[in-house]
Amino acid sequence: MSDLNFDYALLIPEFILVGTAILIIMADLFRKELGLGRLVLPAIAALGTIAAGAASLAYIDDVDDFANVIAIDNYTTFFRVLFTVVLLVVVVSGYEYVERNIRHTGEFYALLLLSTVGAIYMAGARELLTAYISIELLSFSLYVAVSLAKTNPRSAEAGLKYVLLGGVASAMLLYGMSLIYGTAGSTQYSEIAAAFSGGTSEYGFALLLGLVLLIAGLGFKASAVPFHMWTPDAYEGAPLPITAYLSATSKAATFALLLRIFAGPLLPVIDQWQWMMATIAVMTMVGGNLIALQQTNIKRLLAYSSIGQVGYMLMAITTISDASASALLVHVAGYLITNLAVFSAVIAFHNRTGKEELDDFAGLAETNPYLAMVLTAGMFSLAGMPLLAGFVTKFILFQAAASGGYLWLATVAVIASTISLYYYLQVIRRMYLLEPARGESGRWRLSPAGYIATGTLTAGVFLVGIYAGPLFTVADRAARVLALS
Amino acid sequence: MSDGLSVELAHYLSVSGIIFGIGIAVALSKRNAIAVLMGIELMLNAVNLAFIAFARLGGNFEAAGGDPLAGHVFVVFVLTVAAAEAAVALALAVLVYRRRETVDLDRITLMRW
Amino acid sequence: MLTLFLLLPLGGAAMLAVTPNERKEEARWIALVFSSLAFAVSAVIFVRFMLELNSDAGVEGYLFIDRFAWINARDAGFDVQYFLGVDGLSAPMVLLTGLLSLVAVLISWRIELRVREYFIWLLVLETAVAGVFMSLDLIQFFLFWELELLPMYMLISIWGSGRKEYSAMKFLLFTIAGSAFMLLAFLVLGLSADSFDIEVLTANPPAETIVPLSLLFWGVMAAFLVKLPVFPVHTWLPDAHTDAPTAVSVLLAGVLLKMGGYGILRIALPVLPGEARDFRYVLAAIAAVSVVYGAVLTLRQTDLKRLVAYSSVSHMGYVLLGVATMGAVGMSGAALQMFTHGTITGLLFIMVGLVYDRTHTREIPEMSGLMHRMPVIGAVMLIAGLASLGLPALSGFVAEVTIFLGAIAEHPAATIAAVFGVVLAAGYILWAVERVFMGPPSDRWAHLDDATGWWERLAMGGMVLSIVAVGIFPRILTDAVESGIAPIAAIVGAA
Repeated sequence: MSDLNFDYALLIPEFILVGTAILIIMADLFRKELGLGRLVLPAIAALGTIAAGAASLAYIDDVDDFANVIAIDNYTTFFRVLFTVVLLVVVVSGYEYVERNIRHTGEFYALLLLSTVGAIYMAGARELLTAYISIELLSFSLYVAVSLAKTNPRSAEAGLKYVLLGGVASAMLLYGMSLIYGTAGSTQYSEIAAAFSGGTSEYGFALLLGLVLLIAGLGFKASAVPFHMWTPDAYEGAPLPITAYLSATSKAATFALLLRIFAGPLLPVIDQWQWMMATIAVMTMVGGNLIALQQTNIKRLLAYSSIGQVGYMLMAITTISDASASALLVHVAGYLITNLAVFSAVIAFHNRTGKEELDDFAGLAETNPYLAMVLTAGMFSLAGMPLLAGFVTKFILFQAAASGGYLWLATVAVIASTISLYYYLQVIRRMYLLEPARGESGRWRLSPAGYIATGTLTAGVFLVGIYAGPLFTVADRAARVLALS
Repeated sequence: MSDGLSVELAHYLSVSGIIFGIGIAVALSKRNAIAVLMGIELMLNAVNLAFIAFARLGGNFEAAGGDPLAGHVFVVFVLTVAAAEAAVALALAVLVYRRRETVDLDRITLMRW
Repeated sequence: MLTLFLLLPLGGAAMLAVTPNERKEEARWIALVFSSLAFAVSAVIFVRFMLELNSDAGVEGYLFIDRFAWINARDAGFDVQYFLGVDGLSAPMVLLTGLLSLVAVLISWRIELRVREYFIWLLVLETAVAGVFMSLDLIQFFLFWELELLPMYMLISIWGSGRKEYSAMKFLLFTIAGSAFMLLAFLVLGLSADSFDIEVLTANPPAETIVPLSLLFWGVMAAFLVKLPVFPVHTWLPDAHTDAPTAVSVLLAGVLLKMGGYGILRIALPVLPGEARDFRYVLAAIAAVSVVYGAVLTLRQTDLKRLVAYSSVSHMGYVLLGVATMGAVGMSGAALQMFTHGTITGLLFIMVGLVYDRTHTREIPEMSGLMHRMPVIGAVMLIAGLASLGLPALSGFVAEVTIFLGAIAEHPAATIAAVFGVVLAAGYILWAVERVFMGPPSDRWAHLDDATGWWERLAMGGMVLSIVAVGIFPRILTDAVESGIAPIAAIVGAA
């Protein structure tokens, strides 16, 4: 334990992010004195994010760790890049919204940057304490960010509900961690794995309880049924860019953590958690997609749809293997791109109309065909239609599950996915088949940032759908770090 | 449990488990935001107790090449995080109270579940 | 070359997407140019295929192969190819797709509502269907199979009539329920054989999988039977047909239904030959019920378009009957029937559309003596009707006789029932034509014009030509089809 590697150069991307956050808060404080324009803060945030993302590329194929607590390997690099991209998208597509609807814009960007640091370390953690701190860094930033909307009376309530339920979940997670620490004797992933692979019969009930609590706590963070109750409320109450961020980074980071834990230290005790994970996966897939059928608010619809997506991802954890790990990474990346495309479009729509009920989307194909096209592509991708990202990534996921001997789980997933098409169609139907509300039939355009964000993301959705090879290769290299058989 | 875990450890864990149970019951049944927060604090303290007990008395740690110190460190961090959590939650509670004059979660119902 | 055929319509759609919305006339011409080019390419494909077939070397396997690794992840046990090729089975289908898509564009000339979008979806639909007929990789096949749903949904629900949204949704739900099973079956097949390559799977049908093979067979068939469609999963078809715009009805009857029959011949039979043989009586029974049930229901229709739609159910029953023989003759007949039904029913729908454009009603009892006002439409309708009921020297006859010849030994009872269906067909077709076109001219229809637009005449002419040509020189098709069916029949026969 004495020869720890304290090479701070390994953490440069996060230093950049934190530095940018501090810079933004300072700039916000002295905004008036310095005479800063309204674009300065988002510009700083965007530049810092780009710098961090670029810096992460320097670590490709590194196999290193910082003081035994944070692994710097392809897996971490994969998520570093992914999360900085998400952050960039949220900043670019959201700044207009933020300007209008957020109380403290400086804090808003700073919190986003900090939460991204948390998300990255969730992926990189190779030790329970680090994992816990990272989770809390992400969660706390989001608790506050959710309640920052000044126009929406639901925002503060959503924040309060989120923080209380999140606190309960964290406590359960912690108790689970303490039991695993107690049974394995260490918080290091590698040592836990070593301890458990030597046989676990002597730990009995304590280990089982620990696993239950751990899954419940992480299931809450990932919004798996039945721990999903907070999701629709937080999504609805949060400012739209934060909703996008919640559905993207917050989910992906949880799965980054889940995958590292369940493919590493907890792999030896797979028999004890696999059935739990399978049960939750089924409940989440079916529940999320069924409840989504009756939503009338676009944010809530997307909340339940993202719950459904979580179910597919949990399926990959259940059937853990080399194939399903890389399939999960591919799916997470594809899901992020798609979901952000949808959210960027919804944000652009809200910027213009200030509305977010499904019925408000009536006739969008006439008033803004471009936006309607983006939403259609995004939603069909979420439903898993071909030539779009969702088809390829879901397919790979189902295939991995089936080849892992979980054909029944893949069957449930296919059926759930079929159900999901129906509610996505409800949105598309409104856009294309209904007439726009009276007095709103004029054409309108997006802001340039809106065009850039939605255009790039939609292109990404098509690119992944048509030529997923490179993404697959990258995900494969990232997943190989986990050293599953 | 074999001889690795002594009787004393079991005692500590029982207490910790009971506190955790009370905490979770409070957190999930109370409808007042402040009470829920108190429940969460109880749960976190139960966690701390468990960590300390494992770190001090978990007999199989040395054999497994384990790290008793990690438990202590964990507790310090949990305490800190719990304080931060209370700060955030109370701030939000105040925010809601200003607007709605209540922190009863059942009455904060602008959104349906 | 196949890729060219696949990408041409898509290119047209892309070009339309950047065309300004107001330029309706330009949108029409862009669609026409691209679909004509696509048709030209499909014709070239077919002709070159025939030349190869008649050359000394003959045709072995697939021609014009375009192939590369699409998503290459061998390590993860996942490997999807982009693999296009045609054989005697798919070459006529490719030609049919090219022809009917062009015709569909022509008869959509008068669409005024959201012209640009309309043609975009139409061209995307063409690409999807073409992809289904040419794909030789299960995943690629499935991809195009699903891709066709979106344009169809949009086309019916926006440009349709009547209960268009209901019909579009019904179509979508039926199809997608079927394809969900198909996807699962494909997954299992691919995993067991460690390949999604149809060529590989056909050469070495998996003998054992993690689920019973019969379950797999019905999983695959679920999608195809819904698409075909046969009793009892046919109910989406009359609704979709009735409420769809004319051009979409033409494509639906002409090529989309054929995807079902094609899928059975291309995938279900050669990949799972043993199960196909085991269940051939079940298939024959379904086929016979479809033929008779469809025909009886057709007799009862008073809506001209619904009538043609139900006759499709009946006619697609013949296809299944041909398939159920598991012999070369019957299956060739089925493949022929797919082509001929495509042109004949396509033409019938065009005629119904033209009549409706003029009379604004589809109720048969309201019409009378239209022949006096529109002799050309009446004559073409008569030709199509006669072809549909299987008059010799027209293409329907060739296909149906081949099916019956193949089927009579294997499934005598079903064949007799099916022949009875032909009698019913003669009844409903002639009766309908009589009621609509014959009889005293009524004053109500005195103002009607005949088919005058060049696009209408071009579309009708092309279709009639293909029907008569195949009827008189069936060898144009039979050689190709037989060369495509022979290896499949050999596989099924050996099982």
